[in-house]
Amino acid sequence: MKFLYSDGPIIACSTGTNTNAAMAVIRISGFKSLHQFKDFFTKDLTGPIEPRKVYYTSLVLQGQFIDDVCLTYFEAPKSYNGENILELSVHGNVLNVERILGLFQSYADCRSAGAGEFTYRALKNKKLDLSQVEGLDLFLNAQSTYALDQGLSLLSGNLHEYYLELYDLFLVHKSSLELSIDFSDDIGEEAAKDYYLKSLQQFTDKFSSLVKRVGPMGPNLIQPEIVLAGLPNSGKSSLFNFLLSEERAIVSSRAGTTRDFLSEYYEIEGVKYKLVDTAGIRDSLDDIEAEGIKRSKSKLHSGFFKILLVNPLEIDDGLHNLLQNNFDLIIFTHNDLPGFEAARERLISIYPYLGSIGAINLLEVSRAWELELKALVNKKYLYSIADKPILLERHKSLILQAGIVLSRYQSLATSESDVAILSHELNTLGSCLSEILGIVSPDQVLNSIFSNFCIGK
Amino acid sequence: MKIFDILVVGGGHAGVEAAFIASQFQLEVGIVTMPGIPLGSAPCNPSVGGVGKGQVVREIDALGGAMGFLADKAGIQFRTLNDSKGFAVQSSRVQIDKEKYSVEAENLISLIPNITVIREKVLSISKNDLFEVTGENKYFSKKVIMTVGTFLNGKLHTGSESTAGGRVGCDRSGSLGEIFSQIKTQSQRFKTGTPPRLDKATIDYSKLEEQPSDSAVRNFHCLHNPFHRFSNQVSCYLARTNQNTMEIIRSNKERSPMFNGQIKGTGARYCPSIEDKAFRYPEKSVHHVFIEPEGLELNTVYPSGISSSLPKDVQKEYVQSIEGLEISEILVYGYAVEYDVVDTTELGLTLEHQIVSGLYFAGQVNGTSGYEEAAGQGLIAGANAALNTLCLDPLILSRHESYIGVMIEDLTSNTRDEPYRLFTARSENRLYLREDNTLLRMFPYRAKFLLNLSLDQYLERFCENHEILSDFCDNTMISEKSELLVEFSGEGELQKLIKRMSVSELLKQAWLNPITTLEKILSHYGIRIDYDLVRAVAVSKKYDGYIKRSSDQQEKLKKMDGTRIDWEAIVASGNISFECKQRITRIRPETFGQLKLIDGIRPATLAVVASRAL
Repeated sequence: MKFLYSDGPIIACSTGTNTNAAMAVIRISGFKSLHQFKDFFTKDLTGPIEPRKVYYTSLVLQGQFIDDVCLTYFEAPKSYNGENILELSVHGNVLNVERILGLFQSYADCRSAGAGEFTYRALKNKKLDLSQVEGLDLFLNAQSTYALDQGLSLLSGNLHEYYLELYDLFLVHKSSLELSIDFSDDIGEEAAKDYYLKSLQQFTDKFSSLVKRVGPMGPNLIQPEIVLAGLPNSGKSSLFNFLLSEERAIVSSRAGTTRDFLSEYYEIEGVKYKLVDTAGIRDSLDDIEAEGIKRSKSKLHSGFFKILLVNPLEIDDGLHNLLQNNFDLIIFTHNDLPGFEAARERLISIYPYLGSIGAINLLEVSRAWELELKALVNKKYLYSIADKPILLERHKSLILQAGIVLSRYQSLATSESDVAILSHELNTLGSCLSEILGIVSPDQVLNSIFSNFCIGK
Repeated sequence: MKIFDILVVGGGHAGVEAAFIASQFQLEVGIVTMPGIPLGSAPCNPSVGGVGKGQVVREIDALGGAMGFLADKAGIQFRTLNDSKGFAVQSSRVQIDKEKYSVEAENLISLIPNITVIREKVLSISKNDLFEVTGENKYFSKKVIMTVGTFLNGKLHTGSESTAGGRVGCDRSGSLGEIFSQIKTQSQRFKTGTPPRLDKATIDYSKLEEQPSDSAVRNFHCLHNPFHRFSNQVSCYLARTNQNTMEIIRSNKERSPMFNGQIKGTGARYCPSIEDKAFRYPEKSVHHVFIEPEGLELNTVYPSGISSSLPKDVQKEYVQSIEGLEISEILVYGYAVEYDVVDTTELGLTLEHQIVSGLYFAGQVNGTSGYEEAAGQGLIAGANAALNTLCLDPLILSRHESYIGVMIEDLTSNTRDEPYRLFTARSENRLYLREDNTLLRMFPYRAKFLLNLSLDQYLERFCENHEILSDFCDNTMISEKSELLVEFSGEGELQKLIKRMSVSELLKQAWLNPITTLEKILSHYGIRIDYDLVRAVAVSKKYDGYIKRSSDQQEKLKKMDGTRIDWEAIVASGNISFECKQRITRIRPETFGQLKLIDGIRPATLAVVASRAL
């Protein structure tokens, strides 16, 4: 996030302005005093207004009645983002909401909030850390209950706790090293060494269980995708339409009809998958089609469940390249054409694995089969989340990177007697971790030393 | 009427350094100090140096200060702390004969013709064109450096007795408020304490662990013969508290001024009194007590680790509960002192006050603890007062190149709620801030003084020779057939040296002591070189790779941090929050690094400033 925003009061409707609803919630954040809104309410805002208490009042403009509202004042710093916040529950007609937003913008110097700006201010005022903001994003936009849970978990739940604990263990370990440098006279050499090794062990134990939850960089589980892939005219769009029961994709017998990938939500057991119909993968001179193909290839890479459609009568280099990917399911198409059976056998003799991953013919695709497909996808999903994987890519790559630095540091910890060098390596680890755990400052290290050890003369 | 260029108020470690460095610029300098207290006296622990502080003493020395010289002269026990933990964290510490230290300080200062020592209590200071300092007489000066230690509104506590004073047996200064209405003090008073002093003839040393002086520790002053001792050497001893000791203290909680509310000031957590230890660590009963001699002629010892403000009878009881101290006599009882400290965020990096120009503050009055920290600030204030008088560039040490720089930046960026002491943990660049390379680190700063004293000539020669020896190490190759490689191979398979390599590469091998290795190589070639030079080059080579890596990481930050900023322009600009403006106005940051250190400064403000500054 860039620091694009300026300070000053911002306003937004927190409940969305797309459809009419019984009510809507409007928030104003970052004003200096409630007094500046005194002309807009029949309730006297210059009198005592107790924070976090709901007041029923009328919203007025120049004496003219606008709406009946419920007003709640959150006083800084005890608010969502650490600023003064005024929250208004108003009637949820879109026109009404827009009129009220406009009123505060025109007459009360409020600015329409940018996307995520309330939360940005929460981050700035240290009400949330970056992981929590990511958690919030995941929570608000989750497409599966697992992602929902993990969002919550990052926001304030056990993953957040886990990171805090890891942070504390790192702090204690770093302190133990500093202790042996700055205070060995007070503590004694052996006790210092003991603290050092013990705290390293505790940190490594905790960290390795986090590493287990990362695994190799796998498919995207935040927005899992079911990807239909195959050469042009292999029948992907037919399957896409069948699964969605609608003529969403333009179907034609001309190869290359689908220029870009199409996607629609497809729900299985409470998880919203994106069903993606990729553009046929083939070498093309057509620029637009070439771009579509490029994007299809990347979809194949990040896809969660990958289905390959193959016409065994048309085998070329493109198919050989495609088969380098790992597919979860193969569907043979064009089984109504003569020579299909022989061609299919021939293809399986070249790629034996094609026969083993639930291959069926496209004409056998039915509603009963669709249930089997759903069960298959769901099974893979449950298997994928069994180890409670970390969903966010940024966290995954940082954890893996820190793991490498940690193992180098561990081997040094037993062999290197120069503590200044050890501390240098530990700082390298610290800067890796700081991106997910937060920065460990010298003051925090010293605080930790003073509160845990008896130091001094 | 005589007009001083610089008048230093206070004759402690900060005051002595300030006057000493300023006098080198041939200015008229005065020290006004309380009658009856010798210059450079050591009212607390009788030692100079320590982890991180050893580096500070050497930095002071290389910049032309007095502390290293005085400590060598008065040194009666030398030690290297962290001896086994690598060169970057090793520091020297010297037990001093405190009487002799003061005598040496008096001698040093009295021999300098352009320093006048005035022994009067200062009653008021005012400023028109000149500062007017009033004691028994009136004195005028262009600049004033305040190094008044704990004497600002000082109040002493021993049990329920409390008296006004900055130190036992001494008067105190008035409050700063009476002297300067424009100077802000921190609302929180600070507190420090000191242990009882024991009669050295009444201690059973046979029951204690002896710590003899180490003859291998290099003297602090770079022009002194490295290992010559100016005084007879004696030992320190280690005693330990026990269950009984701690019980005695715990059962007298209501008589402790620290715990019954009599003392309001905040003490340092790293320097707890024995009462603190008893109540904060109830499960622990064994604490180290170092028995440190206070002088060869003095009959007192300093028991380090049991500072206290408990009533006298309790002090006697707990001291005598310690093995080896059963029949010891207390000659001076321990006490705590509470005092005012100035708001250091109103000081610039030169330690000049930002509102009252020409007025500098240094030492314990700035809320630091320790003689070394005080002396370091004294030197910075003294040098800058002099440089400013002569219209030369100010002396501002980078925190990446010195511990003094770390301290000054920390002090001027934030106020603290406890006395500030240097720890190596406060530096981001510990591998570089070593004792062995101090002369190299400080030479460029000292050179800017444009002086030509024997120190300056020595530093210049040392740095030239360092470059020559460093090139020798880089360019001299040891062939794979050389017997040197066999000699320097280690035990393990991975430690077999079989490849042709430069001397510099060889010095990086983890199992080799770089200093003795380089000495052997040089003697192999029949070259004899000064120990200091060999040590500086050898250790630098060992850490080269690490320092380069961390400096690469820091390079960008450092560039940013060092960028000078115009805080007034920042405050005047539109798009910075009100709160940030207030903080910036209060602290007046001069560099981007300082701005960053301010508590609660917003990332957005930094971004705005960075985009404009660079």
